[in-house]
Amino acid sequence: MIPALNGLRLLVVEDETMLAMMIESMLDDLGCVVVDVAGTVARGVALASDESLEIDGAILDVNLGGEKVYPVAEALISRRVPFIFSTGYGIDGIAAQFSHVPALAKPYRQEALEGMLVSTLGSGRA
Amino acid sequence: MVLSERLAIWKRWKVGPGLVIAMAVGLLLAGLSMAIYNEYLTSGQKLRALTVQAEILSGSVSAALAFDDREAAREYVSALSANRDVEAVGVYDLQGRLVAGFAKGGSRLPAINQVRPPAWNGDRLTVTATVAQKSEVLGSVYLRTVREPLVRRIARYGGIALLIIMASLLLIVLGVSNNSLALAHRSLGIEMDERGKAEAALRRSQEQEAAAQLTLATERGQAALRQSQQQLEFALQAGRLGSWELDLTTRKLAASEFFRANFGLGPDDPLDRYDELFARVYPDDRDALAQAINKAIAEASELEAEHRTLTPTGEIRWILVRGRAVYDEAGTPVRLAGVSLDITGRKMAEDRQRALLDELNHRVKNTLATVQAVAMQTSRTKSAGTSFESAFLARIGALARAHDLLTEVAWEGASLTRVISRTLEPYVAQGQLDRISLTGPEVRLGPNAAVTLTMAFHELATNAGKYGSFSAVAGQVSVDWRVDSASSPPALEIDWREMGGPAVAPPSRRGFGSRFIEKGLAREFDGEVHLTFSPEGVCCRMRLPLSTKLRLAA
Repeated sequence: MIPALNGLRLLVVEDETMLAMMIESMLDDLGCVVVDVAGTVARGVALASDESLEIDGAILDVNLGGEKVYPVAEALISRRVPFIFSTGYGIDGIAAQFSHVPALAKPYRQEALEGMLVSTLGSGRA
Repeated sequence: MVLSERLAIWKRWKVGPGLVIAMAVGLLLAGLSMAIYNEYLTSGQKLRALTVQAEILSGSVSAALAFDDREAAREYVSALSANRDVEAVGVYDLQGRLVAGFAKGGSRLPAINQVRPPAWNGDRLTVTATVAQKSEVLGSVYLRTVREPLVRRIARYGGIALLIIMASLLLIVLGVSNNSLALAHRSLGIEMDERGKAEAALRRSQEQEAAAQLTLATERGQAALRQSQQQLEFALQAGRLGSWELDLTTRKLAASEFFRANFGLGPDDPLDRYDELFARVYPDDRDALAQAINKAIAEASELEAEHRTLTPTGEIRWILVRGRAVYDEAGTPVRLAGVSLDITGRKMAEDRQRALLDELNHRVKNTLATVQAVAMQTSRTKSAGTSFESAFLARIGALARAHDLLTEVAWEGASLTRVISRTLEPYVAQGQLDRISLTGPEVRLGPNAAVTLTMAFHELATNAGKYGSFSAVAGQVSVDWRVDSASSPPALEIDWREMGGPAVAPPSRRGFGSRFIEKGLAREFDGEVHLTFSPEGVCCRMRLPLSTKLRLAA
């Protein structure tokens, strides 16, 4: 449990179940609450756009079965929700307009996820 | 009458040798007749002159004879001695005796004179006359004259004749030489004419030959040029190369059909100017192309640039441009010429290859991430009676089988039947495949779906092997699936049923497998999954909406 991250409500978008479950476990270890896990872009956009859903941040897999996650990213940006990418394509695989978004290269360790979440979301906490 | 005809008439009046000889003969005849006439004339004159002198003398001496005055007779006679033509003069008395007289040059006077008619004796003419007074005969006179001797006359005539002959000869020679000169002139004229004609003919033939050779050379050159152009055209066509040439002064562009075709343009589309070409270049690539062109011109180096173009049909094509600048003697660039090639195919292949490499990298990374997740989940949820190692290796094995199946179909839609059978078969002994029953239409799975469903059926089978129907000798597993077309989108319904196994008791806590199937699977496919631990056997009902990663086989 990391104080800076404790209780943060996070949305996970990841189309591979095994990875999604690992991320859940890691976030659980860090004291975060996984609001939901989306396996498709459509579901991700629906969750991100749902104003009734309280979201502090998100972890987005860039490629969802050949589909790019960017619509979800845009929905989050319009809500001013910070997020990070996780990608198997490397940093080059990310569209230019999102090049400022922090990205984790798969496979990554829990410590790397923790560091990036702290630097991206931790400072914004009241 | 034209000049040439006048000249012809002149030529007709040629002095031929015949005419010259005729003239000479005429001249000779004229000379001869003149000589004869002269001879006759001289004879007559001499006769008349001598006769007159004889009459004068007879008249003169009549008194002297009448008076027998010898002295007076001698005076009259001696007066005649001055006349050179008179050779001898004599005055005779009635008896015929010489009264007075003389004879020149040793000639003699006749002793007795008899009056007779004048008579020629050779070259000498003798004239006698009676001297009378009042019809009384007193005596007679005798005059003799001598003309030039015949030889001298002949010599004189001969001299004249010689002159005439010489003149004739001269005339003949002149005529002949004139004629031969004329002949020579004529033959020279003819020769010159012929030479002129020959030269003209030679010139013509040379001109013709030269023209023929020029024509031949031109034809050969043109043929060679045509051939080389054809070869170039062929090579360009075979290589699907367009050719272009840019005039750097006028900025006019000459583009081949293929060059236009590279831009998706026909022969009538405007592409005759540099600006028109540039307008066809994809906007993002214009600066780079212009820089490459300027660099090639400035450094006299090879131009090689790739750019895109948007064809009139809205297609984006990649074009490779190669070229080189041409400079004049002053080193000023005048032209830029080269070839173009549609490299869209190559670019697409490159893109595909890059995409494949990216995809491979992505999949390896994802797979490693999955392995990491498997390791992490396995270590966290140790189940009783199973070591981490065996559980981990079994899960990695399932992952490997999923990859095998995907590789078989080049990662393009693994078969659901194969995914389930390959996952379940290791749990039954050989020859007992009838313990597994699979029924359903052919469904194709995308890579992630294949991996996830493989892992899900692996978890179900492992559980069945440990606690369920695969743990009993005759236990069976049936999996049947169908597509519910009534829902939107259509959904795949899969029913997993275990039969003939030991009585099932619900687990005290949900392990990794249960969570994976119920939560993970449902979330990944946006579907619903119900896992039921009924006493007769475990049932699992999955309802997964069809999507790109889960679809019916065509």
